[in-house]
This record gives sequence, C-alpha cells and structure tokens, in this order.
Amino acid sequence: MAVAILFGVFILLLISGVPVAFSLVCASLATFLYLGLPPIVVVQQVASGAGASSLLAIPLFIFAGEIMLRGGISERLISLAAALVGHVRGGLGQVSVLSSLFFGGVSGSAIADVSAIGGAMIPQMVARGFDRDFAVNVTMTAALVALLVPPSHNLILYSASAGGGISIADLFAAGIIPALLLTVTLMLVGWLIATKRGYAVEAFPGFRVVGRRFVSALPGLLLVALIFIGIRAGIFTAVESASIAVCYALLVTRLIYRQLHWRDFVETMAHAARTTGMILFVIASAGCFGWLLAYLQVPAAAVDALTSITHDKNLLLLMMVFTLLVIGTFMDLAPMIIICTPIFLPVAKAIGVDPVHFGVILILKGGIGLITPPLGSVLFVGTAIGKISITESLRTIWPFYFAAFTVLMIVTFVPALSLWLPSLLR
Amino acid sequence: MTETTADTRLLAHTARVATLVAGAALVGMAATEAWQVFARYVLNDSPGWTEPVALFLLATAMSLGAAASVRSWSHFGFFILAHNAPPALRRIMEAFACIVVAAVGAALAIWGSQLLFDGIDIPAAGTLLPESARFLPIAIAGALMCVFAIERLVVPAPKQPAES
Repeated sequence: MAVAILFGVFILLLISGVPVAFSLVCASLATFLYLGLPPIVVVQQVASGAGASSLLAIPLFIFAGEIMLRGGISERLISLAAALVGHVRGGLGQVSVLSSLFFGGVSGSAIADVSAIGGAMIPQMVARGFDRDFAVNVTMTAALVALLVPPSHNLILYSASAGGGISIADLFAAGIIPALLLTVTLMLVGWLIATKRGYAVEAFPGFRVVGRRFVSALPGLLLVALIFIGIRAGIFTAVESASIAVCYALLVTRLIYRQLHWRDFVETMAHAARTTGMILFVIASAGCFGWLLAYLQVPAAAVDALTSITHDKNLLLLMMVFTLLVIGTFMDLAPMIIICTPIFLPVAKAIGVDPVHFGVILILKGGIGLITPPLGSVLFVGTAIGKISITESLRTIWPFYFAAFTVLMIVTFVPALSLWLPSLLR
Repeated sequence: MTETTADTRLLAHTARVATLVAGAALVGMAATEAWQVFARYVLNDSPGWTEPVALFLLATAMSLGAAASVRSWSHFGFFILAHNAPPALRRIMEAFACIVVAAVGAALAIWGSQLLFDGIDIPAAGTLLPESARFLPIAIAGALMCVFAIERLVVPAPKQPAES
C-alpha cells in the first residue's frame, strides 16, 4: 500500500502539471504520513539528497560549460569542425555532428550543445540551401553525443544516484567509444540523406586553414584532456577537476580570447545558478524518494518481479531498455537517472550487467528520450532554434532516430564497447 | 493594480538577488575546490574546511537557484496535459500546481528552520559553521518558493519552456 501511495501520488501530481521535484517531495510526504514516520525527516532527507560530495562536480561542470559557451570556445570548435569535414557531402550537417563531439567534450550537456551549435549552424545550413528539417534533425541527434563524452554531468549524476560507488573516471572512459560510434553513424546518415537530397559540397579550405583553426580551438580541446587525464591519473578528484575546469575556462575566455566581459560573466553565473537549482533540487527531492524506495525494499521487489518473468540476461536487458525508453519519453534525463537508477541498477547487477556498462546504456537511452515527444527538451530547443514545428521535425527525423536506436542496441549487447577503454586505462 | 505591479517588481528583484547569490555560491565553490588543489600540491597542506564549506555553498546554490526557478516556472515537469487541457481545466491544474509548490515551500521553510535551530549549537567538523547550517538556505528558499508560487497563483506569469 505504501508503495502504491508513493508512486500513485507522484504520478498523479506529475500529470497534473506539478514540477517533478515538488511531486517527489509531496509523494514522499504522503508516504511518510501513511507510515507514521515524522514528516520533518522529509526535509532532512532533501538536505541529505544534495549533501553528497560527488554532486559538487555537477554545478561546477555546468558553470564551466556556460563560461565556454559564452566565452568563444564553442565558436572556435565549430570553426575547426567546419575546416575538417565541411567539404564532405552534407558539409555543414557533418560539421554539426563533429562540433557536438568536440563541444560535448567541454559542455557535457545536450541542451547547451544544441543551443550553441544549433544557434550557429542551423541558420548557416538554411542559408546554404539545406532543408530546415534536415538542419534541425541532424543538430538535435548530434547533441546526444555530448551526453556520453567527458565531462558529461549526467554520468556523474548516475554515479551519485548509484550511491557513489561507481568510478566517475571509469564512466568517463566508458562513454568515449559509444560517443565515437554515434558520431560516425550520424555522419553516415547525414551523408546518405545529403546525397539523396543533392545538397551542395563545400571546397576544402586547405591544411593551412585547418592548422590555424586547430591552434585557435586548442585551448578548448586541451580542457577535455586536462579533465580526463587529471582524474584518470589520480591527480585530482572529479569535483576538483570541475573547479579546475571553471578556472581554466575563465582564464582562456578572459585572457586568451578576451570575449567574456563582466556583464556576460554575471549572466553566465545567473544562468548556471538557475540550471543548478533545477537539476540539484530534483536530485535533493529524489534523495527522499530514494530513501523510501530502499525503506520499502522496492529495488529488491523489482529484481524479483523481472527475474520471475525470465532468467535470460539478454531478454531482461531488452525489457529494461524498452521500459526505460518509455519512461524516458515522459521524463527529462536528470529526473529519470535519479529515479530509475536505484530501481533498475540492482536488476542489472543481478543479471550480471556491469554497472559502468549499464550507466552508458541508461544515459544513451535517456538521450533518445530527449528527442522524443512529448517531453523531449532537446526537441523543443532544437525546433525552436530552427523555427519549425515538432511535427515537421518528426516527419523526417526517423533515419537519425533509427541510427541512434541502432547504436543503443549495439552498445547494449556489446559490453566491450563500453568496458574495454576503462579496463585499458585502469 | 499599481500595488500589484509594485509587488511583482519587488518579487522580480528578490528572484534576481536569489539568482545572483546562488551564482556567487557557484563561484565560491569553484574557488574553494581550486584552493584545495593548490594547498595540497603547492603548500603541501590539505585544508579540512574546504569540503563542509563547499557543501554549504552547494546547498545555497541549489536552494536559491531552485527558488528563482519557481518564479520563472522553469523546473522540470510534465506540462503537456495542462497545456492541452480546455482553458477552465487548465486554470484549475495550474492553480493546483501552484498550491502544491507553495505547500512544499512552506514545509521546507518551517521544518528547515526547526532543523536549523535544533543544531545551531553543534559546530561542524573542520569549520566554524554550525552543523545545521545546510538547513539555512533550504529554509530561506522554501519561504521564497512559497511566496513565488502564491504570486503565480494571483498573477499568472507568461509561460516559459523548461530548461535543462
């Protein structure tokens, strides 16, 4: 009965239009009252939910990403990508995908990625004769790459939701090959569509231009290396690397690029603070919800329920992936990670799936949810930037969607893609 | 009418201040953690105060950022049903959501204050901050959430898309 109250009140409030974080607190409060537990504990659990040291990395990476977005790093990365792949068939579409890989590495956020790259690339693509739907769809699906490249704050969130026992360095390493696979697949799809639609090809700017743009974008690219090597080599923790990222981004944008002025900095700070509040308040509220899940032994019940259907590992994995896909279409990525990790991770562990591998599956699958209606936030942002309706986008997005889904299936059933690099670097 | 506009302006200013304090807390967190790295490698002395201070700043950034997001109604949510409901039902759903948010805010403010005062005499390890200091931003943010949600109930704001 308590479990029914917990989930029933949560779902009822959610569909009534109450924000996720407040639905979580209310559902927890109702369950506490039903169980006769003191309701003040809800506030204690909310405070504890945001009290884990590893969570410090999330707002700092968000902040660093905002500084880079407004400080000129993103435009230099796009410029480098344009020099590298602009001459391939579907030129600017390919640039969007490659820019997402580069910029994902510094922002770690799909929304930041689609805003930064879409804002720059979609108008350019349209001006050069690309169809608006292609420009929007290639940019939106490419933004999913950012979720898997270090320093993706979603991977940190997954680690924290799993109780902090999963190495963030391993998760960062695990996302790299799936991200590269997604990049290559999306570029291939972009090339096929561009060929079919007969889009123009740009001239290769020459190696001198490539070299110049590489030098200009180098400080941004170095940051990824700094974070990754720093954590992997044990020089600093994930949290410390996030603070280094903020300081480094400030130095580069202020002293080298000279683009981030005081007014921009204040706005950057304010935007990062609002995003932090939204994400971390869900985490904090879910702390209370998660405590109740554990108290009511829901994860153990989920393991029993799923393993009673079948013991086949692949079938169970497939069932989990499809369940999470359905949940992901109705829930944004951060709340989905926080709520689903404590329920599904024990099931994954019970059937022998490595937690690092499961993390990559969860994030990639959640990313597909971001471009799926009714609640795909990347879909909303991308179509708004491209000035097309969601229906127009969905009419032609399916090849990209199919590509992302195929990569999800490959990553799900070939664990080595996620686990080889972490074991190599360990 | 004029009074309502003045109140709204005051609350807009309050939300802006809350956002800037949350932003300043982010800067403080970055500085605190960077100092930890500097002290460890350059001064060869890891300070013990950085973690509790950074966690207090985290609670501040989270709570005040979340409170400001109540005013802009940019929290994560599933709003599609409310958006597509008939106008009368939509108004009821929006009012209901505001009441729930205001109630949660009030609960955070009241119980947060109680927890703050309960532990105010116990110092946190490694700092001069009281052990219960983390409840201070939660209590303040709870009060702000309550006020902002009531404001939205009285003066419905134009819709803004959810951010991520």
